[in-house]
Amino acid sequence: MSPEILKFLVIQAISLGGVIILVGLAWLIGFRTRARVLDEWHVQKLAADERAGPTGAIAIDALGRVALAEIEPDKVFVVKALGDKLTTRVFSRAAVAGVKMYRPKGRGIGARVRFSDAGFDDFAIEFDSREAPAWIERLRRGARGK
Amino acid sequence: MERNPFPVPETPAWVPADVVTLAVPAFIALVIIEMLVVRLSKRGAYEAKDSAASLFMGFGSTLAGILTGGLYIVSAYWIYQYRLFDIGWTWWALVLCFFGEDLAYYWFHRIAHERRFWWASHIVHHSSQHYNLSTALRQTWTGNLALSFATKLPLFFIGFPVEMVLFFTGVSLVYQFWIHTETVGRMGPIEWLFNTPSHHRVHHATNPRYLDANYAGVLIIWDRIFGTFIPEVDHDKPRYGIVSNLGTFNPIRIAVHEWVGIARDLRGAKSAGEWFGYIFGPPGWTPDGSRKTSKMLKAEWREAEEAPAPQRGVGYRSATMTSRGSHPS
Repeated sequence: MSPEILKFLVIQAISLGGVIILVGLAWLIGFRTRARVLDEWHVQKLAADERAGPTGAIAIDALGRVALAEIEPDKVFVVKALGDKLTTRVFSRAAVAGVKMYRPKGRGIGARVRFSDAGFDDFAIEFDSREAPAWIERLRRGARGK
Repeated sequence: MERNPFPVPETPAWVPADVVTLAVPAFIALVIIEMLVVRLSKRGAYEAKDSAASLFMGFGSTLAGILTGGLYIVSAYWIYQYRLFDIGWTWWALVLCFFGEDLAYYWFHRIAHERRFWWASHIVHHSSQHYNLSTALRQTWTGNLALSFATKLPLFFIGFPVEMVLFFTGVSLVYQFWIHTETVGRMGPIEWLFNTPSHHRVHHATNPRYLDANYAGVLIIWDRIFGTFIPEVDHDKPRYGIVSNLGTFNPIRIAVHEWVGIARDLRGAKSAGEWFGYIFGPPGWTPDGSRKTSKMLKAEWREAEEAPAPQRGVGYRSATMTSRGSHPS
């Protein structure tokens, strides 16, 4: 192996080691707060702040990780916990790429939601009730991928 | 045009091959110090997953730089062959090159915010909702492919040695690291000339007041000259992120999401004008105005500010209120 390549690999290994140390330190000293969606009023307030328009039906994950709100005429307001922040977005219904229902362990029902936006991960929203809120069913029926 | 026949001036021994690599240990030490200061003082914020994403983007950008940096180097040496003047490593050349590189950076940075093609790569750096030293390392993987170095090329044509320009580019990157912090307040008279944490907080802020401002690298004078300077004000605390905040810590998604957004928009474009607009228009541009550009957001905010008191500021508080950027949604 040439000295140049070796030097390059050593530098990359040190950099990667630095990344691991820093992330580990951040975790160890407690920078791991999780944001939560509290209740419907919280979602309505976030929607107002985002000037998303008045919200219709709202569904909130049992653990407060995510919330979905209907916005007339054809939009969806999403609140998603991302670390210690709540990310809010307004998507058109057409951007809902798929909603798949499932039965999570220890809960009533869950839905895995996918948007056609590369900057937004798929997420799961779970409910304690046996049936999903009607609004999630409507979203599922309207989704392109189902 | 003929090639310049004179030999390339020799680079002095004191010039390091890569200023940024040399600074990596200092970057790591400063991030650790800032984390401890934030923990103890509650000034600023960190989040482990957010920092992991930022640091991994930084690590990936060095690898991407090795794979794509050749494009910049080849372009620089090719243009340098046709240089107008033979500029050696003299003190006055160093001073001129420092100012020239900083001015070129200002224009690159401004274009990177005002035109979506370049924003698609630069958006990575603004995609964290946190503002700390780890955010400084959240860097693009696609900058060289987007020819983000284009504004530097005139310096080689003038005749500044390639290594001299690269040296000042490194110095500028290292300088810009420490200004990504909420732990340092205002800095008095230094703020007149230099880019500081306060000035750069404004640049990363998504509050409509602060949109499209403070593009400086080292010297804030360029923003003052070209009318893009906005000072930080106490009653409007910066909120960080982008217009359509990301819902992911996945580095691949962070790196390419805006490029995917452009491709998706182009698929639905109905004319050459729409194609052009989606690629080179301002971030947020759409033919029907269904998404908002920074100018539109700022105009709405101004209108709300000028409205009678009861309506003032309505809807402009959000912790995730956004700024630059465009996302298909």
